Amino acid sequence: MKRTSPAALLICLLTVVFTAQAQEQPATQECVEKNYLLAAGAEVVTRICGEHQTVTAYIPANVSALSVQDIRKKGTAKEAYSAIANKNTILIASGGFFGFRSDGAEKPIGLIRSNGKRLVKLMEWDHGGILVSDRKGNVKIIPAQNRNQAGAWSEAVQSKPIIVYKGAVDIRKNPRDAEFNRVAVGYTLEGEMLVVGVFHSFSQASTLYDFAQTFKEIADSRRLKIHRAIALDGGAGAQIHIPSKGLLFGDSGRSYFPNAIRIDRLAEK
Amino acid sequence: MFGMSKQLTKKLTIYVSALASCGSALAWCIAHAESIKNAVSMFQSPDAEVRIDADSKSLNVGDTQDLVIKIYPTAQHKLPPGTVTVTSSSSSLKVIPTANAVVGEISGSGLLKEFKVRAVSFTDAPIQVSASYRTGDLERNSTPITFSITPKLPTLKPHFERTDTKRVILAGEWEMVLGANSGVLKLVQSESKLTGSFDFPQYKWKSGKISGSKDGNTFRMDFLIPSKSAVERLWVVGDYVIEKESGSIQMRGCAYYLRNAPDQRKETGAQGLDCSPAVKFSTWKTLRAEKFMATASFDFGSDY
Repeated sequence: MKRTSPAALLICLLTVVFTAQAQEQPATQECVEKNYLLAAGAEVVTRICGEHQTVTAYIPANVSALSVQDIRKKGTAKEAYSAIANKNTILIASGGFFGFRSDGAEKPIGLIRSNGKRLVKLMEWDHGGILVSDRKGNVKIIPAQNRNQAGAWSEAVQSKPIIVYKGAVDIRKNPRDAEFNRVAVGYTLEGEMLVVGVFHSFSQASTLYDFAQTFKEIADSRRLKIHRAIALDGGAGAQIHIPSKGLLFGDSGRSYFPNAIRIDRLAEK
Repeated sequence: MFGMSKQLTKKLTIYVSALASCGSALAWCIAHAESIKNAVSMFQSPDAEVRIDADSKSLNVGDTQDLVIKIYPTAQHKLPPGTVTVTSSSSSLKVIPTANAVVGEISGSGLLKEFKVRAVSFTDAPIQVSASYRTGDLERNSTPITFSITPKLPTLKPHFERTDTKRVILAGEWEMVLGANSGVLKLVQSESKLTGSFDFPQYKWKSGKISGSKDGNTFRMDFLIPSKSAVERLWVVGDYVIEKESGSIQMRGCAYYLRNAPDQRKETGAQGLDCSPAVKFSTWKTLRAEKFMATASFDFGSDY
């Protein structure tokens, strides 16, 4: 009769134990990643893991114009955004916030400038900033303390908070920070733009803090030195639509859409 | 000796005859007591006593309290028809529906229950309420009763937050309808988070807790199904509108009854608008969908 060595017995035992443990662990959630090439060298990457979706849009420098679109409509995002898309539209995303009038009707809040006109007055918020654009390819985020500079730009949307400042995450953990769908836009000093959105089937995508980390990680993975990035309206207002690909990300229900940012390919590009 | 006896007999006869005549007068008086009373009262004026009372004399703002007023004739007269007026010493306590009433003839006692008081505003001063009865030249007032008004209990209603953005706070009690079932939804809001409870006396799940969020003009709530929260959920989603005319706020949306289904990857339909199983959620199977509606009184605040 062949003798079984104690070492072989131990290996067999460990193998059985580890196999049992592996079976008990839940299977790793399968993620599906898709890459879409858009006009003017822009690209969109979608990553869907169960109930979670992450959308990343990269727009090269000097190929696009960012504009602020005044909407002020109640309905679905699909209805609200399809009305402002055109053949050159690369992407439409959330705009600023909204509040309520005394009679209960919704109204946009925070500075909104569109096509050189001020549509909504500036709010004296002590944080956040203003995403501005000249519709010619130049985009900038002006921090709250310099907010009066925004009047010089034809397009402006006031929002909060700034999540990346001078390349670093600029937001602290906050116990009141809740999980919502989120969208933010950032830019490099070279003029490249990065739009990131996190979405969830039950609208519980991410806290602002975690979202800022996600934004930074995505930027780093693309070797983009984001100078500043600002969060746009979150929750039901957090939306990213890519009309040329028929892609809609964000809450599908009815809400109020005060405005949106639209990134169009520059005519000559 | 004989003379003394005669005198005594004579005196006794006088006393007996006097007693006999008084006794017959007394008997007559007793027999005709009612007539005598009426005859005497002919020479008296009518008089009355008025009393006022209430079960509770401590009211919250908004409370209404019944008053009981009793009017007694104190003379032998019936009280002829007259008027009763109830007076409050403060405008914070209003006499309703009116402060005056006409009363008919009162023979035994008159009981009036048509008067009430309503605490319309807070005051820390005691308030005296009295009733006055008037008929002809007669006017009688009750001893006043004293009421106190305590501030209105803070029953939280959905309202505007007093910030520059005038966010809406959904906390409060709502009447709701889910499919064909009506119930009560109690919400507490902390920042954007919603917690609370639901009660549906006739529904499959009669009661439970809720957990959710409010953002902009939308709400998203999980009605937690007891013992099944990991595998099944009742996802209630929609938006709300504030109605100035009715002073109310209304949630409108859909309730989706979902069961965990890891292989379900589709995500379609408009949540909260399309109340049908055609609305799909990633990793969840939509078993059923129903309309959801909830209404509550909305506090527009004093600056409205």
